[in-house]
Amino acid sequence: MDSGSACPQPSVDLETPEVRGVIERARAGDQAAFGQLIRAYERVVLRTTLAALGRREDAEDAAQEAFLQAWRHLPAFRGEATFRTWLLTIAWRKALDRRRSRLAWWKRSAVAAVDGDPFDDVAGSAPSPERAAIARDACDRTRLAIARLSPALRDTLLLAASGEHTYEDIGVVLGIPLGTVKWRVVEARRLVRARLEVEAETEREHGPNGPAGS
Amino acid sequence: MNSDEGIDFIARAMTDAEPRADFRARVLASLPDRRRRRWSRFLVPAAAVMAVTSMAWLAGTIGRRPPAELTLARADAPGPAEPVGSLEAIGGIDAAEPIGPVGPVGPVGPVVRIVPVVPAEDLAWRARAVPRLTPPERLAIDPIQPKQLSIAPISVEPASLDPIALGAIDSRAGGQQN
Repeated sequence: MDSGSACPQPSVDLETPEVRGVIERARAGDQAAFGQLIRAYERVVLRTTLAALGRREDAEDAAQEAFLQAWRHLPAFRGEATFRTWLLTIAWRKALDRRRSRLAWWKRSAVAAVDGDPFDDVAGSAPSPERAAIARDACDRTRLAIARLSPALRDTLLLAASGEHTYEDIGVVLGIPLGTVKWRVVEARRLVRARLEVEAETEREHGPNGPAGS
Repeated sequence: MNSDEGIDFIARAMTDAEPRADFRARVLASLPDRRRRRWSRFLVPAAAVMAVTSMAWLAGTIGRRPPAELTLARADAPGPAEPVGSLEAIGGIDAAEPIGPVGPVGPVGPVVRIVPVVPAEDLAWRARAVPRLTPPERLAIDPIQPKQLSIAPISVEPASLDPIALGAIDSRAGGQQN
């Protein structure tokens, strides 16, 4: 994985005439052609749903639902957007539906944390000794800081950083203007940096386990 | 890891996943047959339309008499100054009047007159004689007169009441009445 680029280069989807031909065949009901589309887009769809859900199992289920819905609605696809963007929009909505239902389930079962965010299982709610030990690692601390972002900032940052989308595509998928996408990415990075700096400062003052009694 | 590069690196790792090998097969196995669905979606409306059409056709067939057949009969060619084109009326009625003079148009071909051929039973039905109906009998109306009213005069006799007789009241002790 290339970690040196500040802004990951998105994969470009040109939708060549060959791809358009496959889409047309799939529109006509050719399942083999749709299988080719699944093969071409399963990775980006899975990464998109994973950005919203944070769990691989949920992300795979949402991706499968997205492909299923795309198959059903493919005859209505008019080609106003690229097939890729259309498919990713479906996948994102499916992922958000699943995230909402999971939140509702968590709230009903009183397992959720205060804000009930699905990424809480990544971020953790209480700094146990084990978690504190893990958090010593810089990568884990960064991961926790990202997970504790607000959903809007975190979604945008994860989609942008996944390397699968252009900012324009993210704007279409999230339904927000391009300027908002850019601002959210910058703001998300700034908040993560600030949180990491605060943690580092605290660690310098109070040691790796944080302030006494916390 | 406090740099943007580090944050993006971690963020990318958080969404870094490859689909399982059987993902495509699972999705394909769950796909409904859209071709069959597309046909079946039109089955019910098509059946309804066919049923309505059949009923309309049956109703029209049962309630309809056989129509008069139209045949084309040739007539002689008219002269140059004669009006062209006339239509004979149906059922032995005199020929209709000409549509109008057209003027000298030179020699023209034979005029085609449309002569309807009416079935014999239809002609017989048209020529049927309806028997004259006998007039109904005149209605005799009895005069309606109420009978003479005879109401006996009411006589009211004066009421006569006998006077009430009361004995003398004894005012002695005990109040006994004699």
